[in-house]
Amino acid sequence: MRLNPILGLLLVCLVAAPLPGCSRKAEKLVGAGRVIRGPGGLGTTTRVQPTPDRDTYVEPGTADFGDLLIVGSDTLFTARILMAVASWSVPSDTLPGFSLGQVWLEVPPDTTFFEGGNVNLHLTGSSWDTTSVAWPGPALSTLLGSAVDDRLTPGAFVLPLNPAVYDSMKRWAQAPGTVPGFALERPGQGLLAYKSKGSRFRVEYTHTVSGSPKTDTLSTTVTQNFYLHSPIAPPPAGTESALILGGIYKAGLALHFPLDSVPAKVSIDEALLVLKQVVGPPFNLASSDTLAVVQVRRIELPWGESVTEKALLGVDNATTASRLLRLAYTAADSTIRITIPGPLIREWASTSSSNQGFFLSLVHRTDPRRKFLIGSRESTAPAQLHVTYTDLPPGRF
Amino acid sequence: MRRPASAFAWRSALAGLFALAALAAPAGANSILSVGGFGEPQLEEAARLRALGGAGAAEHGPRDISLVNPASLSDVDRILLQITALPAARRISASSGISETAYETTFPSARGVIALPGGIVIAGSYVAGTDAEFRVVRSENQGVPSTVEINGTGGMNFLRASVARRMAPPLRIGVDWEVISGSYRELWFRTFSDPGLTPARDTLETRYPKKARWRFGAQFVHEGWTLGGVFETSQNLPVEQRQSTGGASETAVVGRLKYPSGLALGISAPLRTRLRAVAQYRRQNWARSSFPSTLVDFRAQQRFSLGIERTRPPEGAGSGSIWSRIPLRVGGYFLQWPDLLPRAGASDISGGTVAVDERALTFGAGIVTKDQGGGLDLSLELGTRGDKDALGVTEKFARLGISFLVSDETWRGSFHR
Repeated sequence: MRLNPILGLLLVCLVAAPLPGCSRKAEKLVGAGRVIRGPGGLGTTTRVQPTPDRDTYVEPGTADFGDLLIVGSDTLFTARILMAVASWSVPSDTLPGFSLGQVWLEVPPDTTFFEGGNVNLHLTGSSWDTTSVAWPGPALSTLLGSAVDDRLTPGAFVLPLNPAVYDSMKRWAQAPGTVPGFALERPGQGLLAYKSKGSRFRVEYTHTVSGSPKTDTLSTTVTQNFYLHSPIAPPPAGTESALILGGIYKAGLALHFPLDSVPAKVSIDEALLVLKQVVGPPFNLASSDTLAVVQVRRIELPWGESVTEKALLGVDNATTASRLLRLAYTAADSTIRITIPGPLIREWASTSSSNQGFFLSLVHRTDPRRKFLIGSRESTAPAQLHVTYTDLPPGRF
Repeated sequence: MRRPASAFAWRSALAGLFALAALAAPAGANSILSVGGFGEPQLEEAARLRALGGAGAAEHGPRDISLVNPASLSDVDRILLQITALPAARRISASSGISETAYETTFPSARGVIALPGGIVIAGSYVAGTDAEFRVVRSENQGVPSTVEINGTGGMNFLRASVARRMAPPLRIGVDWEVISGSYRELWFRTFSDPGLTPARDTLETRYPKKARWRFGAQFVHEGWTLGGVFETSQNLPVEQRQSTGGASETAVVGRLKYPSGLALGISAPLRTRLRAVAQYRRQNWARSSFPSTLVDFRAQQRFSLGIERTRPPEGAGSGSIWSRIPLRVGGYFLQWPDLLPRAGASDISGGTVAVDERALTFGAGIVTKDQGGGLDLSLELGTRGDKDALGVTEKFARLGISFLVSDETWRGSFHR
């Protein structure tokens, strides 16, 4: 008997049979009721919506080292710009045919604010330490120059200085450490904004070169500039019914939610911070609001509602969550919704001492005055933290 | 010796078969009742003995090996490789009236046997003990509504080393050193209709350390009659459970599993020329004390097997039709699962348990190679299990067993003589 053809056929069947049989099709709903895992079933998905047990708003300090310099006043808000120079470039008056021309300060403008007005440059009465400088900062001393910034001409704002400043510059060039610093102020109401990079002192002079007079300019770069502003007014007491997010003071929210009811080892299905705007114009998609960003950071230090400054919170540098306002804002109920990473909630649930809460800030580059008033826990629309979690899979045995 | 040109193709086909077996998962999806407890008990025997209801304790011969009794290896006089694949179809019917059909393939066993000088035979094998592979999708309404899909894998497996020898013409003995391995793993994927909720992926693992136990077997052969017996020792296994999700996990020792002792008794009796009957009783002493749980209770696992085989004609017998030369087998078994499961609708076993009984009729045939060392066996098992009233589901199943046995002679080409 020749078995080869039969064996061949059977071998082919043998090799091929497992292939269709490897289908993962199996019981879905028909037998699913046989998954029996105790009274808790397959685990309960629980949603909690705690409201803050502490909330307030704070300002990030009165010294702003950002890329925007603000000077002037807006009702209770007052700001001045401080500048410092590390080394000076000053033309020598011993050059052949030396003749001093103009001496001025050049500051590149920023279009954020252009409420024109008179701007004064003062020598400050003392120098400062950038790690501790705060409003009002060093006293203003000698007036070095003054000019109206009306933004009528393109280019940098030019603030002419008194010719006598040239003599001071010569001394400062010899001993740069002896000059305390400079301050720009804008008396009266109105704000002006400048860019933090590109400011310089300039000296124009004429001297003789190869028998002919020649006009030159020497520039000295401003190596440090920032602005100081008056403290947020009125200061937060922790009992306001509306919390200020953003605005000219760049106020941020400090929120603490109790998470004791969330078990430590669960699957986090949702962690959503919900803020209700209670006062003020709603988010406008057609405005500069579309570029605003809401950022969430975790607070590291214990705090109370009487806190007024961000520095006391120990806010983490790393951003926990960040979202464009236009994506976070729901116009229907005027709420801002920001998703928080689940692992952070799980960490806080497992170690309650690490839960010091959230710090929220608004980055609104095109309209620094823009602010949102958020309902506090004292209001009828407090912030909420929506947390949904599911128990870990129940054991098989 | 004639070597046809197709020899290479044959070898390639065999190599492909073993590669497929090696790459495939040890088991596919299985009984819906395996979603709890230890899973569906597996019959590890090859198709020839599956067709006899699994009665292998009294098997012996140069190629008639059983995975139940290590003494059955005693008469092997060459190198043997054996692997079995088991495509199956199941029809699951629920008490609600709806039904579903599932298909899967398992590989219940694979074995290599080498005959050494001095009549000693050694072997190594992979044996499936239980199969807990499943996939279910269920809607959950506890708290926020969700849909849970659970993909379960694993079960109990054994890695076995065997040695056997014929001690006297009527007496054969064998010993297995068997490592109890395997684990249970479930992947949970939970989705929500609320788009604001993130789907959750969780894992549940239940595992135990690999520990070995002994199996002792003997056979007594006299004038065509064979009596076989096997005793299995017990082993204690600490069971660890790990529940985990993204960023969190909880591990705990949930108890001590006492893998119980067991026994098997079998007989092979000649009825007429080329006709014999086999029977076997096999028991593993699972009990409540084996593993304390609120979700499953245990009873002794018992399998009653019975079969009749029309054997192939002896070598040198006159030629006949192919059907008269092919061995035919018929049998059946009754299996009592060790798992006592919660009643339908219950959340645990506090309201009572329901036993799972499985019964099947088995049929089979086979072909032997010219060298009498290799062959291909097929079996068909048709059975039922479950209880629609008490368990909520019944299953009807059809399994096709395919076993390939190859010897060193077969591999060298006698296959094609």
